[in-house]
Amino acid sequence: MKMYFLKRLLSLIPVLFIVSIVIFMIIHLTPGDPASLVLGEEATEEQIQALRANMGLDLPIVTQYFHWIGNALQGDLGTSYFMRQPVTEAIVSHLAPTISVAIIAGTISLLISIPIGILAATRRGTNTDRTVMGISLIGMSVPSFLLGLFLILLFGVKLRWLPVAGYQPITDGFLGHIKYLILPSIALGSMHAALIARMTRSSLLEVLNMNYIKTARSKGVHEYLIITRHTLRNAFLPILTVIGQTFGSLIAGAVVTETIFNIPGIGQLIINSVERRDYAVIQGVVLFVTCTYVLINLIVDLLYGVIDPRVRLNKK
Amino acid sequence: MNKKKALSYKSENGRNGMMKKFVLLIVALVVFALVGCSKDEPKEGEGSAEAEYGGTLKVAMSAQPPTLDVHLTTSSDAIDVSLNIYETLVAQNSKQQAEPVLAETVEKSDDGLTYTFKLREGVKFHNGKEMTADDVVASMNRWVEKSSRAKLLLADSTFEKQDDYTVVLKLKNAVTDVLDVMAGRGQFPAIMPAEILASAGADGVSEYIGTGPFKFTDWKQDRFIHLTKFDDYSPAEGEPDGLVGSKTVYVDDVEFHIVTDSSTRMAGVQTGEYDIALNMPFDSYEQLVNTSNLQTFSPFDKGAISLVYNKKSGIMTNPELRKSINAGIDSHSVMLAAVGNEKLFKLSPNFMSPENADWATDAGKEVYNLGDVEKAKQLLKEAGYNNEEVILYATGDYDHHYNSAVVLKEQLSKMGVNAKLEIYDWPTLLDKRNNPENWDLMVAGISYVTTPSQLLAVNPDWPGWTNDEKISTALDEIRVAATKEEAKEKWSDLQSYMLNDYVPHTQFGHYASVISATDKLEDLTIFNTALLWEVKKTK
Repeated sequence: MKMYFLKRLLSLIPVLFIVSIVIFMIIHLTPGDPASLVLGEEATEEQIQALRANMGLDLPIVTQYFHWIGNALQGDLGTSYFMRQPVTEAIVSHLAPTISVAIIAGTISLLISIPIGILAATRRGTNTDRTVMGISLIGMSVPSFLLGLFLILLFGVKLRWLPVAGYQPITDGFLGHIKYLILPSIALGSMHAALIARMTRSSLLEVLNMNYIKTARSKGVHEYLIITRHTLRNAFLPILTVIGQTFGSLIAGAVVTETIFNIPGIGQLIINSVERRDYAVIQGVVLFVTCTYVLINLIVDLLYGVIDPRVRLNKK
Repeated sequence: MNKKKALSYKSENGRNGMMKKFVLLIVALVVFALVGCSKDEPKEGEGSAEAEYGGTLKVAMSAQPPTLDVHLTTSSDAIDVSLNIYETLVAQNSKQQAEPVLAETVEKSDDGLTYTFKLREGVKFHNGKEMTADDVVASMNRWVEKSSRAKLLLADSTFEKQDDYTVVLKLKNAVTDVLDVMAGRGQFPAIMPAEILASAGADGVSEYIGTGPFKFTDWKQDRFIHLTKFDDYSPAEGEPDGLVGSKTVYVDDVEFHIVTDSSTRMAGVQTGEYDIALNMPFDSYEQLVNTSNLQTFSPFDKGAISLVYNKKSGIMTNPELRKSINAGIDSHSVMLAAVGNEKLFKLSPNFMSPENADWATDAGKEVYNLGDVEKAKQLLKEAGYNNEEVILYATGDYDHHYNSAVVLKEQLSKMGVNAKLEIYDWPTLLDKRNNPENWDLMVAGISYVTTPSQLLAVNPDWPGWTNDEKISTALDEIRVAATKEEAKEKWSDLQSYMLNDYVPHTQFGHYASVISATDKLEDLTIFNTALLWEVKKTK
């Protein structure tokens, strides 16, 4: 188990190395530079070149890459050209809103999706099943930004129950923090809920048709126990994979939702940095997101063993 | 079989339960809709209390400024925030004329080569230090070095200290537009403490300290910039007028929130999340005007949309081709596509702002907005145009630029110009347009300036690269004219020459900015942007 964990961690190194080269080349070969954007559109070529030199952007691209990767290996991801703060600091300050949204959206989606997925599976072919599947199809089809706009219009503009945009850190009050995140979390969570609900239903149906379930029923085991003890656990592996993937995508930053609700998270950071050609931040965030994805997948793989003893990794 | 029956029975029960839930859901939705449609009635007693002003003014802006060191950047977002932090020796009044702010008096020598600025005494910086000539000299000389306009127009001029409260500007040539250039809004000459400037790196100052009515407090990246009322502020004398006169602050704090999405800014100001929203989308104008709890402004202070010709390389170096295209352009159609509302644009050949009391002129109107396609075809033929490909640049990041370019491309096709429209994001366009080999035509937004010599249409360094002996000679004459009237007359002649003969740009029209604020704010003044002094917010 430990060896497996170590191997997976070591496998991060080539992934990060390749990602770093690709992202470095792509963003440095894209036209535009941070100096022009800092100085504004009336800056002279001479002023732009002077600031470029100050930022180290006049050096050959290979030299720039080795400077950057050398510092990154020592934990220094550089300094934002635009925000004038260390990239690690920028990532940390933008991570808190993203994690908050991810946790709330994840919780909402799980609380909705698992029960309705079970309901649909146990009432297969009934109106309940058709309604759940219909709603989940709509949930998957409606983009989160569109749902977000509807939520803003209804609960923000019309009813005035919740703020339409913005973010309040948890340190300024828990209730205020939650109040700003409810609408974006619903907008994000509903799409993921739909996906997980469908996965729960299909996975459960597969297990419900197995012989050992029929045996349990013929022995008179209560339907509740059949679902919770005998079916759900065995059906949970594919559901867990989807949960892991959706949570990973939430941590990577929901770009559009964060923009609509004006949440200063990782998604907004990366989109703003691309618009500002803030190379150091783009590189730093991409590396961070890559690490996050790999680690979440690793955690999901390890949880397989916890849920299902048949896939425990130390068994030969 | 029995089991199946049992399951089937359960399903029937489930169906009944489901029906009940469905009915409840419908009822809930109807209630939601009814509540949503109800009007917001004022609560009993609301508005009857004695007004007490203060609190935090929340302003939603569309982008985060790159820096608040305004000597370095021309970013309009940086200027919107910085106007509250810094002040200048002279600034614009509401008629765009220069008047003293931190200077008490300004005296011009008889030979026009020296300007003496007597400073107001007792003016404090936000760090508690009193402003003296040392700070002014350090700030102004840095501005001359860093600002592209000052570099171009006031090159080799120096500011020197005469005594603690007197600063002298020494010029190489006796130009008359010195104060107008110093009062310009873009990259303005903010007065900062000398020691802050001495410690500044190439990327700007590390502390934002000025003498303005608000002091910089905090900057949460990508969230907000927080300013606080400066209790020791020393206002200038006189009625508030544009950026000059007294500035009384009625709010305790100002937060500039970075809200990049325009629909979010709109919903935010509608619900009172923000008090003021800048840069509202043109297509929401009518909706904003008709929203009962909002006050919406559309001042014509933003600038003009123009077609810029590349006069350094390619076929547009031929002025006859530029004249031909100019003759075929229907500016009304372009502007209508750009901003989508007749109330938000003005058709005028003015290169300067039509509101500018000193310089506005419609000289050259005979060749403006002709939309004469047949004449354009004829002129193109006479100019020797042979269906060469013409590259038209525009950005897709600004809707009004993009929409203008699409209509323009259509008009060019009708004239018989083989135009290829290339759309880029803003940073890419900034980069690509610097190479004169890349393009022939470009759609650009042109901000207003205080004197003709600052116009991008006459700037030899700005993309488009105007390079004409007659223009530079005329500008020199305007700058040394004995009187304002003489200068204006010469500018009128020059504008006519530029439109009829040289054609550096074809101007489509002037457009308004759209700014909305909640109706809870009183005495909100708009001058290029929302001015945050004098405005009152009930606590």
